[in-house]
Amino acid sequence: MEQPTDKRGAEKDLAEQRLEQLKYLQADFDNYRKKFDREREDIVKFASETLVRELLPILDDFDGALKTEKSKGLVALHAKILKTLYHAGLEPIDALGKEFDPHLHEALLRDKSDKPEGTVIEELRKGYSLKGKVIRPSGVKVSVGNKWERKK
Amino acid sequence: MGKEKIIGIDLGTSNSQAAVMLGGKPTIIPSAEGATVAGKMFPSVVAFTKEDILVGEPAKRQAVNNPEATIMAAKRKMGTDFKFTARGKEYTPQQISAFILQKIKRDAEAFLGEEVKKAVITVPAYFNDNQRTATKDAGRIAGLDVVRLVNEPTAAAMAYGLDKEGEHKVMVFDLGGGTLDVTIMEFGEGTFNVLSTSGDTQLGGTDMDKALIDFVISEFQRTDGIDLKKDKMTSQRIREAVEKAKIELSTVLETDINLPYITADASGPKHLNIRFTRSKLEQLVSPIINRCIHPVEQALKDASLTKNDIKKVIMVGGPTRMPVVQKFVEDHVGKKVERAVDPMECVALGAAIQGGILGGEVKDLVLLDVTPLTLGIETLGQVMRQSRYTYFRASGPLPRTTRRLGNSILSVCLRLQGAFPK
Repeated sequence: MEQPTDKRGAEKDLAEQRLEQLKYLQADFDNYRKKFDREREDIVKFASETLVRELLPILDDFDGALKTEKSKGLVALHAKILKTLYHAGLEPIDALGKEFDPHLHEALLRDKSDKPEGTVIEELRKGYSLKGKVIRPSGVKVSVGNKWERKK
Repeated sequence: MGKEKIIGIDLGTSNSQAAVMLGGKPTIIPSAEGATVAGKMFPSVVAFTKEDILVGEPAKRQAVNNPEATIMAAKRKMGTDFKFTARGKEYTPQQISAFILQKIKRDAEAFLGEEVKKAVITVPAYFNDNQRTATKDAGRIAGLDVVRLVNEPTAAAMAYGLDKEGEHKVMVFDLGGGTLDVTIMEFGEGTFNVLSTSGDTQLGGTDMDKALIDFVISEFQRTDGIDLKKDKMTSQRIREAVEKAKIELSTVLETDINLPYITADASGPKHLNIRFTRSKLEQLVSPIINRCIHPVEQALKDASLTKNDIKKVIMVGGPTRMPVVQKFVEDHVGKKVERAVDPMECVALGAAIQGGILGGEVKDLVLLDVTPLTLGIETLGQVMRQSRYTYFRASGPLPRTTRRLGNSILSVCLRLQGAFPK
C-alpha cells in the first residue's frame, strides 16, 4: 500500500512545484509586459536624450563665449542651435531670482545678500529639461539672507 | 499574481541601489530621478528642509545650501550610539538609513507595480553584530522585512555565479568613490567563508578625479598663466570634461579636453585644449593606485595565502572600470580579473539573486550566510576562548543548530536564523 501513496505524493509535489513555477512565470510575464510598454513609451519620448545631453557642454561653451565675445556671428550661431534644440523639446530652467528648488537647481555656492534666504542670486551653469524631465539642474549660488555669519 | 518579490539592496556609504529578479535574471531597479553620472545608483544622502525630507539626488543638490540638516555617509555610524541632529530633532543612523530604504521601496514598487515587503540587504564583510542588527532595524523602520543580510563580497561573487563552481578561493577588490575593501573568501560546502578583510577608508575614485582635474588646471596655468580654480563655473566645466575624457580613455589611447572660451583676460578670450593620453592618465593616478598594494598584500597575509591560491578576482566599484586599475590588480595577483558583470551593479544584482533564492524563485542554488563572529557561552570561571564553550565558530555557515551536553545543571540548545532540529 505504501508505494502508490508515495508515488501519488511525489506527483502531487511535482504538480505543486510546476504550479508554483507557472505562477512566477505569469507574474513575470505581466511585469514584463508593463515594463515593455513603459520602456517603449520612454524610448520614443526620450530617443534624443543621449544626443541632447552630449550637446549640453557645447551650450556651456557658448555661454562662456558670449560672456567675453558678444559678436553678431556668435550670437546668431547660439540662437540657431538653441532654436533647433528647443524644437526637440529642450527648455532652459528658470533659476535667477527664483526660490531654490533642489528638484531643479543644484546649490554650488551660498552667500550673504539682500535677497531673502533661499533665493537664487547667481546662475553659474544653465540647467535644462527635455520634454518636462530635468536632464541637468541649474548650478546656482543661493542667498542666505543678510544676517548670516560664516561658521568656522 | 505570483509570489511576492524579495528585492536585493546595496545600501552603500555614498551611493545605494536595488535590484530584483525579473524573468529569471537580476535587474537593476531605476531610481525615480533617472540615471545620473553615477549610473543608476543614487546618493545615500538624506536632507531635512523646512517643509520636506529629501532623499537621494535632490538631497545632494541642496547640501551646500543646507549643510546643517543634510546627512551623508550614515552607514559609517551604523551600530553606534551616535545621533544625527537636524532641525532640532535627533535621528539614529538606522533612522537615516531607513529614509534611504523607504525611497528604494517606493521606487521598487513603482517599477514592479506591486507592493514590496521583503528585502535582502548587503553589508560590508567586516560589519560586527551591532552594525548588522542596526541594518536590520533600518529595514524594519522602513517597513521592510529584512529576510537576510549578505556580505557585499559574497553578493558580488554570486552575481558572477561563483557559487555554482567547485571549492575555490576568491579575492574581491572593491574600490569605490572613497574607500577600498579587499576581501578574500573561500567557497565550499555551499557557503562563502570570509578568510580576511583589509582596506583603506581614505582611498578611492574621488582622489583620482582630483589628480586629473589638478593636472588640467596646472597645465593651463603653465601655458596661459591663469588660475582656473577660482571660478566655480569653470571648475564645473573642467570636472565634466575630465570625467568624459576619463571614460573615453578606457577604450581609446588618446583624446582631448577641449573647452573653448574657458576664460578671458585683457588680451581677449582664452581657450583650453589639452591632449590627454591614457599613459598620462595612468601616470597621474599611479600614486593613488600604488596605495592599493598594501591592503592586497595584507589580505593575503591575514588569510595565510599566497597569490597563487587565489582562483578568481572580482572587481567591484566604478573606478575598477579603468584599464589601469584592472592591470594593477592583474599584475599583483597574477590572474585575469573577472569583468563580465558591471562592477557598479554586481553587489545589488547578487543581493537580488539571493532574494530570488530565499523567495523560492531561483532553484538549484545554495543558501549562503555565515556568522561573522564566534558565538558561545561564558559562565563563571570559564572563558569562551576554550573551544568546549564555543558553539559557533566565526565564519561558520548558517542556518544551523548545535547541541552540547555534559553539564549537569545546564543543557543548551542554540538555534541561529531559523534552524530547527531535524
